[in-house]
Amino acid sequence: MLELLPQQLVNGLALGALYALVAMGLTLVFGVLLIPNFAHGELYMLGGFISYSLVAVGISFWPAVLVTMLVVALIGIALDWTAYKPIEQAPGLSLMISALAASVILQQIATIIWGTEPRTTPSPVTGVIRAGFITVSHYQIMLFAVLIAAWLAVWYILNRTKLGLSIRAVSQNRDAAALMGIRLDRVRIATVVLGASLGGLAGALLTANFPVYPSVGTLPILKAFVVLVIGGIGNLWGAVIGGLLLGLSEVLVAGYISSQLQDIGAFTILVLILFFRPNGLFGRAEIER
Amino acid sequence: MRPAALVIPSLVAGVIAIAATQASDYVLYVAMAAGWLAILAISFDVLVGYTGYISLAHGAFYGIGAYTFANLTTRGDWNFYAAVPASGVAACAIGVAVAGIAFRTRGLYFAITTLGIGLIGFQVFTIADGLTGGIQGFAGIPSPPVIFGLDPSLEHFLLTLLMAWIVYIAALIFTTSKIGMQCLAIREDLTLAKAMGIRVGLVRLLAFAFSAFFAGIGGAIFASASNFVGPESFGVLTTGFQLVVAAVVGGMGTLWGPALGAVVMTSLPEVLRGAATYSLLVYGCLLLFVMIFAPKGLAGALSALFQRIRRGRKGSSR
Repeated sequence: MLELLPQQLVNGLALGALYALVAMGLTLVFGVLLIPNFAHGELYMLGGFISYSLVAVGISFWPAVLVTMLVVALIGIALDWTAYKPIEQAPGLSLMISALAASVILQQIATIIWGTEPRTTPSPVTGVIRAGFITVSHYQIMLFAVLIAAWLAVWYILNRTKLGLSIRAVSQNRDAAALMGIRLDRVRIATVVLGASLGGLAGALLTANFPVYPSVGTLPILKAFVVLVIGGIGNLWGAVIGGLLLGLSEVLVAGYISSQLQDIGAFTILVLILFFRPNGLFGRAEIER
Repeated sequence: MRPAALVIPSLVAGVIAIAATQASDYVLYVAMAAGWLAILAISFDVLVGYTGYISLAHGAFYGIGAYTFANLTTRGDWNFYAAVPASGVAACAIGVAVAGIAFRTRGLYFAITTLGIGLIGFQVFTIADGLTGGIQGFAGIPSPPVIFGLDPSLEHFLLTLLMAWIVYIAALIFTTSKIGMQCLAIREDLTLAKAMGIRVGLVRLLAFAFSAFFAGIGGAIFASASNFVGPESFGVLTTGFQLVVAAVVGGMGTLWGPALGAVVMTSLPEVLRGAATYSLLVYGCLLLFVMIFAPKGLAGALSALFQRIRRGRKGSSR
C-alpha cells in the first residue's frame, strides 16, 4: 500500500488544486463583501458549460477559457445586483438564503439551456509523465500551473495595485474605508468580478477532464466552505493551502480507509476545526453583523 | 399568553380537519407533506426565530427521528405510541451533543458548523445500511394505527394535523415562557443577556433540544405515514434547505408564519406542476423575491396589511 503513497499525494494535490481555485473566489467575496455566496458553485458550473459550448462551436480551448471568465464575471455582476445588493444591510442569514435561492435559479436555467446530461470537453492537454511509481498527467500539471498563476495574479492585484489597496481596506473596515473616500460600489464590482471569474476559470478547467452537469457545483461549494474554515475567511493564502490540504486528506482517507468516508472526512475536519477554533483555523476577528 | 393565541390555531386546525373529509387522496397527500414540513418549520423557528442561531443540521434530526422510529417498530416491535416519543428523544439526545459542539461558534460560523454536521449526518445515513437501509432506503415501516375507522389516508392526515397542532401549542408555551423571553434576550444581544444574569448556555441548549425533539417527532410521523424512508429526504440541501425556506418565507419568530410558509412552499410546486420544468425555477425566484421585498416574510406582510386595515377603519369612523 505504501508504494502507492506518492501517487496518492499527486492525485490529492490535483483534487486540492481544483478546491483551492473554487475556494479562492468564494473567500474573496466572503471576506470583502461578507456574502456567503453559495451560488459560487453555480458560477463554477456555468463556467464549465460555457467553455464546453464555446469549444463545441470550434473555438480553441484557451481563448474559450478567457471568454468564459469574462462571461461568468458578467453573470456574477448580474447575480450581485439582483440577489445581494438590494439586501446589503440585511443580516448574514438573509444573504445566505438569497444565495441559496440564486443557486437554485441558476441551476434551473442551466438545466433549461443544456439539459441534465453530463458533458465533457475534449481535453486540450493529454498525455502523462511517468517517473518510477508516479504518473502525473499533463492535465494535473496544468491545474497546478493555473492555480499558481491565478494565485499570483490575485495576489498582485490585491497587494500591488490601488484597487487592491481599496479592496483590502473595505475588507478590514467598510465604514472607515468609505470615510477615506473609497468608492464602495467600485470595490464591490471589482471583488465580484474577481471572485466570479475565478469560479468560471475553475469550471472551465473542470470540463477539460471531467463531465459537467447542472448540479456539479453543489459538492465543491460545500467543500469550499470547509476550505474557508480551514484557511480563514478572506485569506487567499489560506484558501490555497486549505484547498490542497483538503484534497490530500480526502484522497488519503479514500485510499487508506474507505472511499465511502471521503466526504464524511472532509466535513468532520470542518466540525472539529470549528469545535477547537470557533473562528477558523487561522481565525481572524469574528464576522458578525 | 392570551387565550386567543390558543383558540385561533385550534379553530384553524378544526376547520382544516373538517375540510379534509371532503378532500381527494391527492390533496390529502400534499396536505400531509405540508404538515410534516410545518412540524419541522415550527420547531425550527423556536431555535432560529427566537434565539437567532441558524441550524442547517435539522434535516439530520428529522432523519434520526425517522430511522429510530423505523428500527423500533420493525425490529423492536414497539407500538406506534411508544415509538414516536422515543424517536423524539433520540433526535433530542443527538441534538444536545450537536449543540455542545455548535454553540462554541456564533453567527455564520454556527450556520457553517451545523451545515457540516448536517452533511455528516446525511453521509452516515447513506453508509450505515444496517440501521438505515443505505441508499436503497428503509421499507416496510408500519403505518399509524387507524383509530376512527376512516379512510387510512384521511386518518394519516388527521394524525399529522394533530401532531402539527401539538407542536404549535408546545412551541407557543415554550416561547411565551420565561425561557422563551430569555431566548429573545439572547437573540437581541448575547453580551447584555449574559450581563443580566441569564444562563445563556443552558437557555439556548434548551431551545436547541426542544427544536431537535420535535424535528425527531416529525421524522417519526413522516416515516410512519409514508412506510418508506430514504436518505435523500434528510439532506442539508433537501429538507434542511426546505425548512429554512419555509421559515424565512413564512416569517421567522412568529411560529404561525413558518407553518404558513410550509403550506405555501409545499403546495406551490403542486400548483405549478403544469409547467413542470419551470416549477423549481419559479420556486427559487419566489424565494429571492420574498428575501428582497418582504424580508419579514408572509407573516410580516400580513401583519402589516391587518394593521393598515385596522388603522383605515379607525380613520373612517372618525
